[in-house]
Amino acid sequence: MTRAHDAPPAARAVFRRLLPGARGREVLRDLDREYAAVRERRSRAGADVWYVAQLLRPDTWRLAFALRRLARAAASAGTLPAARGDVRGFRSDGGRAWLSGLSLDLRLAWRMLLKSPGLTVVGVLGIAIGTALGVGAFVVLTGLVYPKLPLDEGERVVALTMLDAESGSAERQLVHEFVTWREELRSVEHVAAATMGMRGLVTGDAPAMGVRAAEMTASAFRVARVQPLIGRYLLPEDEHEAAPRVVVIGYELWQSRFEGDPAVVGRTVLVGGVPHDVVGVMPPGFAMPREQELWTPLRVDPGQYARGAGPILYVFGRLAPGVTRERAQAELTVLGRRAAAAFPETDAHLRPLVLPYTYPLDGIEDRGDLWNAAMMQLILSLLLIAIAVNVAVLVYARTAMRRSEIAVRVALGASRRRIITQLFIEALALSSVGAALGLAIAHTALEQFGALTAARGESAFWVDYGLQPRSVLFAAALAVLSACIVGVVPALKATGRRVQSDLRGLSGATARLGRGWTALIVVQVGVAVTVLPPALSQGYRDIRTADVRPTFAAHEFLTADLAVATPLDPGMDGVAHRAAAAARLALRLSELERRLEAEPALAGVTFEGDAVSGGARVELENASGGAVFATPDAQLTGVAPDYFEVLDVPLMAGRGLTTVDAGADAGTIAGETARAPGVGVVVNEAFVRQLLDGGNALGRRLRFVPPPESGAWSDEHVAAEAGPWHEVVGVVPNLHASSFDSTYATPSVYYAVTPELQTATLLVRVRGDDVDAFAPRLREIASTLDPDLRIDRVANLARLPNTRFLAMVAILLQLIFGIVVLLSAAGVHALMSVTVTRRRREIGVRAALGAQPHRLLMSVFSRAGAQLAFGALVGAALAAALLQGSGLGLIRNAGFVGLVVGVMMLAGLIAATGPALRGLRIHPMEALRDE
Amino acid sequence: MSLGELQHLVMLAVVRLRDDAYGAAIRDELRRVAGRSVSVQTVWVTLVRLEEQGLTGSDDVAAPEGGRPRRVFRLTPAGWRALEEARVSMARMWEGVVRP
Repeated sequence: MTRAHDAPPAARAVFRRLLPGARGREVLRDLDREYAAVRERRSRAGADVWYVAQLLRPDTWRLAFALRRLARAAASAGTLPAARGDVRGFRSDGGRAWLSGLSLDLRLAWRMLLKSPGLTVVGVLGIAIGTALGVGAFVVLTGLVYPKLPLDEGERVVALTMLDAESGSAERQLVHEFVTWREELRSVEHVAAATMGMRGLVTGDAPAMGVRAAEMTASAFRVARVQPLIGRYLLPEDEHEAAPRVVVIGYELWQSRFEGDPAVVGRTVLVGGVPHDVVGVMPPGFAMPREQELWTPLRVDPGQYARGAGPILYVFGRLAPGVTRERAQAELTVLGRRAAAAFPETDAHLRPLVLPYTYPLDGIEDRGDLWNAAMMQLILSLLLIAIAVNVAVLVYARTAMRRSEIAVRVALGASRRRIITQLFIEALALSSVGAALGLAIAHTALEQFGALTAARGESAFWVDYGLQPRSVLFAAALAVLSACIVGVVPALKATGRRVQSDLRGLSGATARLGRGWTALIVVQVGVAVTVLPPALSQGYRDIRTADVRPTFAAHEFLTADLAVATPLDPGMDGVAHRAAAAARLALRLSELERRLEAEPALAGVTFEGDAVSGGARVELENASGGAVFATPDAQLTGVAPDYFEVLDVPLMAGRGLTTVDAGADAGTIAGETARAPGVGVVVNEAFVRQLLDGGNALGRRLRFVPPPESGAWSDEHVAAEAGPWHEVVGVVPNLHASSFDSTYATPSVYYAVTPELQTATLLVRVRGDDVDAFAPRLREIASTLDPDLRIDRVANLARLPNTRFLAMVAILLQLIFGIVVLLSAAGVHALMSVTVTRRRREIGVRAALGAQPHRLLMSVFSRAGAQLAFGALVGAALAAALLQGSGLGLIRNAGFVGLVVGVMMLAGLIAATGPALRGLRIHPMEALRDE
Repeated sequence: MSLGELQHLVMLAVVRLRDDAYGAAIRDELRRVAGRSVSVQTVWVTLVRLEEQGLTGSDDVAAPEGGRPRRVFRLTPAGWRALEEARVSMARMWEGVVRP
């Protein structure tokens, strides 16, 4: 149901401020009702837009003035003693004069915007894009840095973590610490702990489904202060080893899986294959610790683990009444020192921290992460400033053209302040429209993004991408900042000392071409050529990599993700749990393969392990037996030995993988089983082309190095962790290539795996056209094998939609960069056309004095060309440094540098042509007379 | 005092609604009877201006279901006079008017 106060809070706050008194409140209620009615008819976004638009209606403002008049009249008549508060913020009379001046300025500004529609559209679009990026980043980053927990006194709920001072990363195996903190901490109440993971849930006859579950201490519910909707939540008694196994479920799960059955309490379900009794249902929105929908008691026994071992725990609690986070931190530090003294070997380098509840769950572990977030915000805000500067250049060029008008107004008695105010308000009108549009874009995009992550179960319960007052304020601040850059700076310049001389030269005398203009052109071209090629290059790279599609007959394949829910038994640590899960999956996968091969509808069955990329390095062996660092970007994929045969991919050279290549284990690579020494691997065409320069790959040897946990590569790490050498035994064509650029593919290495994996992707090749028809049969076969076998994302391989969204985002970004290029070109055009126009009469006079037209044109163009070329040269040098430094590569991106230079030069030269030719056409007599 | 068209309509709505003449009801009445769809703010601007001109008065009345009090409008004697004058002048103007 729509509640009235669901209306956008920021706009509602403005209404409340705008419409005073009892009548104002009643109008607000009427508007709320109307909002609810609109929302019944349209989407939420549509209703929000309607509500915000009400603010802009003239009758809203007429009403605001009328209500204030009424309140003042009542107060002066003594009938309304409480009316003082109604008129705060409005001066008795001076306000009206000020407001009428403001409304005049606003009308003028509006007229100016309409008068130059081109500039208005470019300016509004530019500022809208900048604002959308800035606000988007602001919402996401403030949500990360200043989270608002939707819990009673949510700001007092804190996380307790351990930072390993040596590695700089968080220590998460906190069983011993948790027990100590729970018993001894006084400044934090109800210290709670939870582990999170996917668990198989079986209810009645329905097939198993994976749910986001937490094993959580009963105290967590007291931290949350949320009462159950039905039944009870977990109690400390449930944590005893001998207690009956119970489970509490979330509202959405109750609705979707139990059809909202009011008699759900007492039903028995299987969680991770173990019977549990449902004892309660939590209300909507409860998803602690993060996005969980099912809770079982956490049973922790520190006696089972050494210090620093045991399950990964997330520990949190509520600050005791009157206690600050600093005081809690002080007490925790004391406990930490005591532990370090008692257990120097394990605890000496650990630093306990009290953090906002969400920080560890969002991956923020120390100040460095906060700093990164702040830098990100700064960079995106800088983009807006860059855009604003470009718009300012355009406006400046126009303001320069309006100098005569300004000079006349000064002569008629307008003060400098008055003129600057007017130009500022013109700019503010432009930037406000842009900011409002940007806000709407950001709001819509974030809502879509929020819905997408929520649908995928990736959204934490405190994340709210709705339009908050602070984001509206931020957009307003950006609008004012842009208006200052766009309006005030050109206005100050245009109303400076030279106004008087402009007045004298009103009939059109030559204004000298200042050095300022040359500098502006050089800077404008230079900045564009510096910043845009790397941005375009990165954008192009993102587009190419975002939408990578199979090159084989993908439409004949159904794919499905497989995993086995394995109960996390007490006493089992992470490694043991992984091993148990892998063993179970291996067993189920072999059975499943056997069952599927018997299906007449199928032409083949194979599987992939999880692809590992972006972390592990591939090293090539050079002629002298040493290692050559090859690339961090190669993708390593574990595949079944018959993978290429089932995919029907012909080998380009050498042989395919065999079961021998899937040999014995030899440690792990990035969480996957590594190959024993000497076994063969297969590489793709892109690997040969990009890393071996197209040379012979067969017989070359390579090895994998897993990424270091700290993220910092060192020779010691490589020496210690590098796997054994493997021989390249075959080359296959690129199995996936960018749909935008068929020659682009990721260098890939395929190694044979046995099914001992955490998760696997099953690929079945279906005979006939109706591939999707086999999907229900696939689920059916899987669920009869093992109810805890999770089979997710069953889809036709050709239609996997996950990359399309990324591609859209990448294309959108590239479009934005493109618009910025055009905006910069427009800026150069405007500057150049002003400088040459200002020389028009000089050209006319020189022509009158007998100068050759071609010499005159040469002089104009050589000057313009020199300015542009100098800017381009400086920019290109900086861009080269930036491209090289960022690893994007200079040679590969020379084209982008050339493109931006070309666009800027062209814009500048075209801008010079028109005024120069017009200068030549001035009648000599006219030019001389003016002189 | 001469009345604007919307003022005229709003005052008639106030008369018709008697004890239920509050903002939202007046707006509904305008839509239902006169077929005039106007915004919440427009109705309220008109109501406040009528009050300023002394043509209407208002009282806070508790809502029937115990909700928040509502401001119910009524015509003042000056309001009645203005309404009647408007009606008379309108009738006079219509006298003898024939469509050509």
